[in-house]
Order: sequence, then C-alpha cells, then structure tokens
Amino acid sequence: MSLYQTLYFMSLVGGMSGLFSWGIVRLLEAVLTSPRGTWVSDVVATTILGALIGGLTVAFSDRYSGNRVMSRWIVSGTVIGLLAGAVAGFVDIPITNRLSLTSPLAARLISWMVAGSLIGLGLGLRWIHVNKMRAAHAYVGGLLGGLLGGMIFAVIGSRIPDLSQAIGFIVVGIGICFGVTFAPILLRDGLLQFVSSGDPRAQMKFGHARKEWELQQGDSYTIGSRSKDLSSTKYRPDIEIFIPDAAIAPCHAILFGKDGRFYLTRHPEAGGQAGLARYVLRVRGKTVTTSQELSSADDILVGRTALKFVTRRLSS
Amino acid sequence: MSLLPAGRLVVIVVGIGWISLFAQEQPHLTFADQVQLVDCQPVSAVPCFTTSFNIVNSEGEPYGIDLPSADQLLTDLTITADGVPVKVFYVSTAGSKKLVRGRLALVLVDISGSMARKLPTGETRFQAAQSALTQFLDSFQDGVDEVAIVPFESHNVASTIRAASFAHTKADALAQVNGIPAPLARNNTALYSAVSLGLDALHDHIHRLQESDNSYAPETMLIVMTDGKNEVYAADDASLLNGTEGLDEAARKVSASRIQVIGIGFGERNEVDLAALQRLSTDKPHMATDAQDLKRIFGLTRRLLVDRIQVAFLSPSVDRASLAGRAIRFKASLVLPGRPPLTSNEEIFATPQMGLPLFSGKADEAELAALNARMNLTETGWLTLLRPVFVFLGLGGVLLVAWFWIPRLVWPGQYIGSIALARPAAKWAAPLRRGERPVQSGAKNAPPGFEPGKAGGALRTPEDATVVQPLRESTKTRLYPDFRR
Repeated sequence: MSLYQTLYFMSLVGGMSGLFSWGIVRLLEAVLTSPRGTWVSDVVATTILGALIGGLTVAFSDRYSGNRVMSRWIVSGTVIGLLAGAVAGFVDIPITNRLSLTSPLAARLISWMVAGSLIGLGLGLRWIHVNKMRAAHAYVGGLLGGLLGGMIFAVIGSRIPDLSQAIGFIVVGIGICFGVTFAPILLRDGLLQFVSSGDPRAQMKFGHARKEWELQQGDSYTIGSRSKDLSSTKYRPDIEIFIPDAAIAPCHAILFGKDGRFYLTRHPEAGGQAGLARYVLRVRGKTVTTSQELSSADDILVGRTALKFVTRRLSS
Repeated sequence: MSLLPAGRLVVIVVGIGWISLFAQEQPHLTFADQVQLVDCQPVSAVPCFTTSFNIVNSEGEPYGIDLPSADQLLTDLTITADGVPVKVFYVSTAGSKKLVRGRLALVLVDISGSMARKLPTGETRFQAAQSALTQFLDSFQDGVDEVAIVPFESHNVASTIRAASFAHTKADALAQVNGIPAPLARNNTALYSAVSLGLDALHDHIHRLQESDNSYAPETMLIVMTDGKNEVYAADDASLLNGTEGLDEAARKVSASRIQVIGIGFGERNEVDLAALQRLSTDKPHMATDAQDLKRIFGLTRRLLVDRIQVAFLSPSVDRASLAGRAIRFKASLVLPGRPPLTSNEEIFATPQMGLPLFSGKADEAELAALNARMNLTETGWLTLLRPVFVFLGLGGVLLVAWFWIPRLVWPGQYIGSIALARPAAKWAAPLRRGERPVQSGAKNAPPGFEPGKAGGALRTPEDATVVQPLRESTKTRLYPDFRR
C-alpha cells in the first residue's frame, strides 16, 4: 500500500472509530443518570473515543504494515487511548467550570480540541521510538480534528441532533489518525520502495500494492522477518520494516538517517562470518559487510527481496 | 409660579428618597436553585426541568407577597428558554400542601479570635451568633429539614468541614449549635477555604442521598457567617486559600456549584471584607452590626430557604439529544393581579461539552402526577428512538462507500480495501452406500490420469496400479547452487 493509500485508509479507520464510539456513547448515555454535573458525560465520551481510536488504529496499521494483527498490541493501543481519553475528560472539567457559563462556545471548542489533541498525543507516543515528531503531528491532527468536530457540534448540535454529534466524533477520529499517518509523509526524507521478491509471500504481500516505507532523518528502522508472535515488546513491533522472506534474518539490517544522509548496516544478529555467508545484504550489487551510505535510486537486495532507496537529498 | 431654591432642593431630596425606597422595595424573582434536568418517564419521554425561586427585594431579602393557589400560579408563571415559553406543569409554594422536597442547609460559623469580642449588650459575638442560630432553628421541621452547623477558623479546616454531620431533628441541630467550640485567640479566619470546602461537603451529602433515592432534589443553601476577612498565617493549616487567587478560586466554585450561598458579616463594617463576601455570595451579602440585627438576618435567611416557589416544566426540546451543544438561558416572570410583573434573573443550563446532558434524577411522584393530569402530550418516542439508529446506519454506509468504492476509482490497479473472509471449512463426504460410486467433481481441470472416462466415472479405480516412469532428461528438477548470486 502506498503512503497516500495508508493515509486515506487510516483516516477512514479514525472515522469509523469515531462512529463506533459515538454509537457506544449514545447507548450508554441513554441509561446513565448523574447528579454530579456535566463532566460525567464528557469523561465517558472522551474515554470511549480514545479507547476505540487507539484499538482500531493499531489494528489497522499493524494489519497493513506487518504480518499479523496481534491482540496484545490492540489491547495496549486500546488502553493507551482509553487513558488518554480519560485524562482529556478530566482536563475538560476545570475548563467547563470556568468557561461554560460565560463563554459556552469557547468552552465547547476548547474541550473538543483538548480531547482530540490528548488522545492523538497518547496514540502518537506509540510510534515515538520510530519518529519523535509523530506524537506532535498526532497532537496537532487531533487538535484540528477536535476544533472542526467541536464547531460542527456547537453550531448545528441542536438543529440536527445526533447527526452533528456523530459527525463531530468522526471528524475527531479522522483528524487524529490523519495526524498520526501524515507526519511521516510530510516529514519523510527518503523512501524505501518494494521492487520484487523471490519469496512468494513477500511478493504477494507487497508486489501488487507497491509497498513503500517512509524514512526520516534521525530515525532508525530495523529490517527483518521476525514474526510478531516472537516480538519482545508488548505494545509495538520490534521490526519497523517487516518483509516475510525466508532468506531474510529475523533482524537483518538497520537503516538509519544521520546528518542528512542515510546508511544501511547489518544488524548484529545478522553479522559475523556466519551472518555474512547466510544472509544477503547488497547495495548496488556490492555486499554490505558493516555499513554502507545510501544514495538516491540505490538498489538494495535483502535476502531474496529487491528494494529501491529514494531520497530527496543528494548524498555526496 | 417657580419654586424657591430651597423648595426645589426639598422636592429633589424627597423625589430621590421615594425613588430609592421604591427601588429597594421593588420585588423580583431570583433563582434559588439550579435548573436541573430530570427524567419524567414513564409519563413523558420529553425531558423535564425543575428549579425554584425566591421573591426578594433589591437587597436580596425575602419579599412578602400573598401568592395565589398553586393552580393559579401555573397560569400566572411564565418561564422562557432562550426567549421561547415552556410548559410549566407543576408549581408548589411553602403555603401549599404539595411540598415534597426536603431542605438542606450548611451553616459555616466563624470562630476566629475576634468572635470573642464583647458587644455593647455584654455578650460576645460568639454568644450572639449562637443565639441567632438557635432562632434560625426555631422553625426546623423534622423530616423535612437537614442542617449542619460547622465552625471554622484556620486550624483543621478541611477535616472539620468534611466531617460535617447533617442533623435530621431540631434537637440534634440545637446540640450542634451548643457544641460549637469557643473562639480562641490563636484562631485566624480561613474564609475562602471554608466556603470552598463547605460546598464540597454539601455536594457530597446530596450525592450520597441521591445514590439511594434518585428523585431526591432538596432545596439547598450554604450560609457563611464571619466577623472579619480571610486571614491565614504560617502557623495555620497548609494549603489554605489566600489572597486574590484564593478568592478567585472560591468565587469560581460558588458560581459553578449553583447552590445558593448567603454571606453574613457581623460586627464592625470596616472589619468585615464585604467585597470578598459579595463575591462568595450568590446575592448581596448581609451585614449585622449587633445581636438583634444578626437574629433578623438569620430569620431572613431561613425564609429564603423555606419560602421558595418550586416549579417543574417540560424541556423546550423533545429529547436530550436536541439539548446537546446548547447553553439554555432560562428566565421567569410572574404576573400577579394588581402588581407589576415580577421578573427573574437569567439562569443558564449548560450542557456537557461533548456528550448529551444526563438526567440529575427522576421527577418525584407529585411532579409526575401533575404532568400526567395537566399535559396533553403528543409522544414522539419512535422518532426519538430510531433517529440515532438511522444516523449510525447512514454514516456507516457513507464510510463503507468510502472504504470499498472510492479507492477503486482512485487506485484502480492497487485496490486493497477488500476484506478477506474466511472460507467455509471443508466437510467430510457423506458415507457411501453399498455399490455406490463416489461423485467426481472438478473434472475439468483434473491432472493427467484423473480425467473422467466416457461413462462419466473416474478412470482410476482401486484396482488400477501406479506405474512409475523412468526419469528422463526433460523431467529432472535442477538445483542451482548459485541461485542467490
């Protein structure tokens, strides 16, 4: 899947999360009673919104970037979103108390923006090990989605009941997921494109959709074939560029950007004499023994999979 | 004939006097309680609101008016929501027999060192306060009233107020008055914290009661009596509210709590911080300079709590979803025969920022009975019930189109939006009967040797033998050791 397809479908996933969370919130609010004030309704809404966006975003991004959707990562994404949503709900309480009577419109917009931005920040933190700006972009995406959703809800809320609230939730979800996904596209300094693979699994998975991985300066990406089942962490994959090729080591190579240039190096697990003999890693036809600087349009062979590196910056 | 200068002066002075007297006596309605959203099921699916009013003069003191019967008040009282009249279906006054709600009051009594000062009458300010409180409790109604008398100074403020016990009987309430500790010289005045914590205690008590009875919605009031100003020093409790920020925080809490807060200053005017007391009160604070004055003010306060017009009315919208995203401004006016209309201040009902407004509780039996008897309701339940379903299905359909159809137009060669459905599991064939031949399927693409014969059955039978052909050059599988190069 190309980056723009990922952006499109991730945004739709955010919209679906918003719609589902609205449905759940609507069901709950039909039976909830609270003499404690307006904040209960808001905390319930933000918590469910965060949980669903967190869970579905992780499920979708893992489905199209990795080999299998892991339930433990969906659970961790759901929990992160739930916590971020709950925090957003509680942050909204003093805002509501101070502004709702004097400036109701401002209070509503700020509350929606806080909810969107904090949920976005919480979800963006999942990818912070790959890309530090992703959290910031998710934050901004959630902020803008929250602003737009809040405006829809505040302006047409009473004229078109239910629909306005549902659209508001959908827009917040779209904003957050767009922010999470758009960050790497906006900031990408390079691309790794799938060309072809001798392994039918990789060819089937990436060949048709012309898979692309975005690369950024300062970040480090592990290329490998380690199954997610064997991942050592409970909330994210170990492998950023996963290729299901039998000739690729579980952790095969590391691609990193530093000082305006990109380098490809063997992963320690695929190094040494045994690693050199067993695992193929070539750039422009030459075997990479330690590390190799990459230039734009370089052909890379990893195992039996051919990749192409493209960058906007010229390496000297 | 023109008036002499002295005469003009007299006319002006008398005129101003009349105007000020008239202005002072001009009564009006004031919201004594917050507007609450309550559930009127099963009588009506349309949500209801409840609130209560006082009739007061410009000084915020109760104004005595002989109110007509509750039935007459239903026609005399008009409530508007954002300028649109709503249907009032229940009115109750102190004089009517319909009084169903309880009354809840928390009285904060300053016991700082200055309360030990003596008044010209010989008694201390503290003793005068006790005496006024005793009079305040004269009309205490067991079973209706709940009162907590809580002292405050600058030590153990939070723990004392949080431990407030609401007396259900007059005897208990009087025991609380008599049990107030005498003021000590070391005591300062944590006025802001006391008000803030008092509101919390009042809210907590209401919520505890509402957990067991969700139709419990008492008339509430917080009374704070002080003879000074907020004074907090290093030897006092830590984290007590102080300064402008402390006053702002306490005032914000008063505003957000929507509970009627009555401030009473006692003693010398220049010693009492009336400006702060004004911000901590929902109406003008009262100032008592002597014991009699204090008794009078406590009496007025009691009347504010008791003489309330309780009302219930239908929501301007048919369901809660239609209230979402709004800040509804309620106003009331009461037209009594031979009097100018009494109008109220504006009360805002703020809805949640993201969610739907939740019910505070259920309407009580008297209110439901009145609704049932008086209103000719046109139910719109089905539409209200089905609208969210239609919205969900409609928007879900739009998202599905965006998922499955639009990508086929934008990326026709790389469509990935399909969802791989699991194939049905293979089934074992049914057991064959004696002499029956198995049905062959997929014969079109059968490999060599498995084609169906002319009779339609398989060529191979269990009696057929498998003949292994010798390996020829063209059938060899070649392994290339240099494949990876």
